[in-house]
Amino acid sequence: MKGNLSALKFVRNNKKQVWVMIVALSLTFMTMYIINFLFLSTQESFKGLFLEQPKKVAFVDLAPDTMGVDRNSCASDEEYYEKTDEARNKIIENLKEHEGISDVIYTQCLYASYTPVVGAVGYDFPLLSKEKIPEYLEHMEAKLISGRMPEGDGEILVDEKVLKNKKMEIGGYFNESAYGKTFRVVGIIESDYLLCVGTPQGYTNSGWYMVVLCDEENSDMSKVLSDIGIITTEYDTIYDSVDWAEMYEDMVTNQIDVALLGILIVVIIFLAISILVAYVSFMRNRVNEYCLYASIGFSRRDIYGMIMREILIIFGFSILLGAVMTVIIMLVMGNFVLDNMGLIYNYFYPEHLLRILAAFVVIVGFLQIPVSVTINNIKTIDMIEE
Amino acid sequence: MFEIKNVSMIYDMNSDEKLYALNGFNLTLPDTGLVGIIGPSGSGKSTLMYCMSTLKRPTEGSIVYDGQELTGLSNKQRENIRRNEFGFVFQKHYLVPYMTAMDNVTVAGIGDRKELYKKGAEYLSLLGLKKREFNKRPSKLSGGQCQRVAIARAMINNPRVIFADEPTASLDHENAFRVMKILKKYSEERLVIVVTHDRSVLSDVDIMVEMWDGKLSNTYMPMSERENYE
Repeated sequence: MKGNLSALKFVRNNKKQVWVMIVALSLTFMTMYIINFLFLSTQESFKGLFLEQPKKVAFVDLAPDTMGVDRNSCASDEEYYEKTDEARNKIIENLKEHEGISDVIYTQCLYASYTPVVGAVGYDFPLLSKEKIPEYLEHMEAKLISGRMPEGDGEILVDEKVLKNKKMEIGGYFNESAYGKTFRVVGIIESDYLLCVGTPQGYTNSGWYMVVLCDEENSDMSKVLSDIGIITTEYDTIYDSVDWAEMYEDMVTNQIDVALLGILIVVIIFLAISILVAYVSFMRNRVNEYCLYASIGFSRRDIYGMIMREILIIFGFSILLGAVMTVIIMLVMGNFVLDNMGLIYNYFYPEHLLRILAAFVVIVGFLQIPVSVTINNIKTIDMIEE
Repeated sequence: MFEIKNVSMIYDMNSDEKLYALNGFNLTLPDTGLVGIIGPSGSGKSTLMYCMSTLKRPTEGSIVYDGQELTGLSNKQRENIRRNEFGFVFQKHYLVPYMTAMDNVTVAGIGDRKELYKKGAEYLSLLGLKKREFNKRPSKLSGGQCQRVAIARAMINNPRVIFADEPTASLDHENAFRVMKILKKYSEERLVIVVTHDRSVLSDVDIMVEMWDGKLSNTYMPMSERENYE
């Protein structure tokens, strides 16, 4: 019959050392996950705007050449503008007849910005006639939850998250720094897409677009336009589902992933070095103990098993404590910070959790170096006493 | 129990003048009894103990324990014998500094934890430690108390052989006498080998082995013991 060397004796009797280690590891766990939580709240917040809204609405501004208007064949500017308007109106009529397109409105747009924890996004929204706004809201599955619908010029409906993000209230002036008191918020809407819409007043810097209300299957505007005989070029401005999806991948997902991976690697390198140094010191202080165990008949394997069990207890407990602290911090941050910033977030990101756990496994792997060196150098008491 | 034949232990094998810690040593020991090994420093007492307890492999010769040749055993087999059959008291007590006296006794224990703690308490009490001292760490115990904890640790698995290297070195006379009495009692059913240079603690031994320069200089059984054997 064999008795194992208990790992708990070290843990129980070295509370100060063990707690320092557990607190350091659990704080690292918590910090890593909270960084993920905050960065990914950016991704979550952008998801509706980048991936869902373009499945219902596209913004198209075609170059006159694309519309078949040749500048050189026009005798004057007036003729050129007239021909451009005619061509555009024809395209709009053709688009309206295309399957999956419920309406096309050529209108002026206004710029909205939204600032999550990392980065910021700016996007255009349409300024429509007050009669068109209910149709637009219905198409976008948005509803007015506070205030009123626009009745006069320069009145804006803003998504509640955008409003919180801009720390504005009903009655506030939208883009005041650029347009002064031109656009006033009159209502709050609830939508999945950071949706804004309003009525025009004067001119804006955002330009004019064909606002195409479409369904998901017909949200690739290059394809839809090609169906009606318009071949788009690089001179055209098209914000459709394909364009937004590419932007989301390039500017949001990839950059956040790279940033998170970079932070994780740096933190783990520093943590691994600190833990290695701490463990080398722990084990140096315990050389005589290991030597005793080897002398009274415990194998190197038994001693290795005990050390590894100690490490696993410390890491296991750190992860548990880290998880509890993380949940508490996330709840507090979610309810008191992110909600107030009008951000969208999730608590659970399994892929990123696994990444952090894998990093801890890598650190345990690194610890094999000092553990193996110590185990291989264990002497028995007769050797020490000589 | 032990048959030691022609055992030599040479240090510095590569030098021209070989250093013999043991030189053609022969000895036979019974299954039970208290054996005292005495000799001056450098006479090879500790080396003999380390060879018999499998901590060291002799350079030449044979050590048979319970019918088993120890010199040819693998490391694993040697560990198993040390773990299951032998108990050790080293010159320095080698207690684990962060463990209590009781944990130091039971750390090497085999079997049910509750039983081990019960047995540990029994041995510590027998060796003169008070109950309140069971939960003290070695830094809070005197040198003598530490040595007695180390003796209790050696006894915890009820080993067939206890090897004790200067077990009374850090004890006062009263405690030295108490420890030797306990070892003597233990040796009624087991073998206890005590290595010392202090002849006074060996008054009760069954067999006295005297060493000089790695050789057996004398071995004898005290008259009282001889009568018992007869």
